[in-house]
Amino acid sequence: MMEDRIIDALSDIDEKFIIETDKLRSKKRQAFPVRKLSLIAACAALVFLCAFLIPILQRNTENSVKPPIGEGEILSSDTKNDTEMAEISTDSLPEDPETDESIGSYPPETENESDNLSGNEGQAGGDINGGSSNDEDFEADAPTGNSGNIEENAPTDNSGNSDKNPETPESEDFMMTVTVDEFTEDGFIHYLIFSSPDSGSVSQNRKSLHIICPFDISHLTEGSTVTVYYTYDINDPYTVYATHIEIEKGE
Amino acid sequence: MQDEMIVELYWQRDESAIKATADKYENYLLKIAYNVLSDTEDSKESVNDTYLAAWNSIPPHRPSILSAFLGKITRRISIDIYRRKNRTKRKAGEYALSLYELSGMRDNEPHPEEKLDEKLLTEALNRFLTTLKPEARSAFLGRYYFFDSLKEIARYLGISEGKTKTLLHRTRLSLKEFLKKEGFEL
Repeated sequence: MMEDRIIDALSDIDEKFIIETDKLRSKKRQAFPVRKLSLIAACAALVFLCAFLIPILQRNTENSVKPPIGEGEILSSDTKNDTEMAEISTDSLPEDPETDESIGSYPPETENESDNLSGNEGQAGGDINGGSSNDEDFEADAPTGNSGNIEENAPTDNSGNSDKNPETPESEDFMMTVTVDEFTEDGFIHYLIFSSPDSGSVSQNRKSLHIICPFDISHLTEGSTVTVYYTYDINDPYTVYATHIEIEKGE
Repeated sequence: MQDEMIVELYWQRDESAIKATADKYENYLLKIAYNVLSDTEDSKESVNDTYLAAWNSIPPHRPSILSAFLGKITRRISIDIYRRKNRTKRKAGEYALSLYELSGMRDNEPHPEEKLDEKLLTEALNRFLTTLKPEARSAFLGRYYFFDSLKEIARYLGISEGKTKTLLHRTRLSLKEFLKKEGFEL
């Protein structure tokens, strides 16, 4: 049949025609690796973007969590500190009838330190910044704090403050021992719960630590939730330094 | 590996020539075989037969374009396999069986007249192909030499399937006229 004859005859046609067509066909064959290369390049670009963007995004997120005040200034710059937000439940605090301040204002209008600490974060930050000149005092006191006696530490911490910064309230840092409810994996404190605000000793147990707080906390009512912005010395994770406190009044 | 080196291996009767051929051209040859046979196993068989045929024909041949040389062998072998299979299928009916029995009277080797006829037809086709524009020529050979699908031809010519179909239709009509003029009985 003619079609078979043509098919057979085509087997012996001039090779230049076959090569010409084959070149076109091979272009199609080469198109695949090119597409594959594009895909690999796209993946590489994606990985590159992820590698750079994710840390930047994480950093931004961390920054947004940090308190707006100058927490980093409390401790000396060569000390690794971190500031996080902690919540303190004041279940075991003695009730103070004078404490009826609204949410977010601390401390209540007490006779003493209220000028420096009252209300907004900016003012609280200002106080703390003022206290930053006492970095060395905090660092020096930290080991002492771990060893145990809060009452002993408090005057030590305050002495420096009062000398260098006359605006620091009464030179009395109030100390409270709290039980750490949860540590995050990297050892940072997630949130805190009051156990005994006036405890005289601090356990070396990592579940307990004390907060050095330059504000009067004795009036906190039971059931209040206290959010503490704090820093701590990485060499002494059992002592944290409150930089700012917000109170949510209890029922 | 360069084609010249592979051909040299054949000439040295080095069996690694077959591996080198397979490494470089197996997919290319499988595609040609599969276009004819539409069966993976048959295609593999055809390609393996191609390696053997290449081993037997180099030397004395020294192909300048190895891909074209191997492709031609694969195409021929695949067409033979296709025809053999179809012949077997035809055994099903008694009429077909009688034809098959009668076909056994023929020699496998084509008659010299048939050979001459095929040669004349090939020469006519070569002349016809030179009259075609490159696009039409590639479409024609893509379809009837490599047995590519319309979709594939359209893709590598960069035209639509519809245009490819029209192009092939016109080329077939031109070929019919051309062969009539050349004195071939259609």
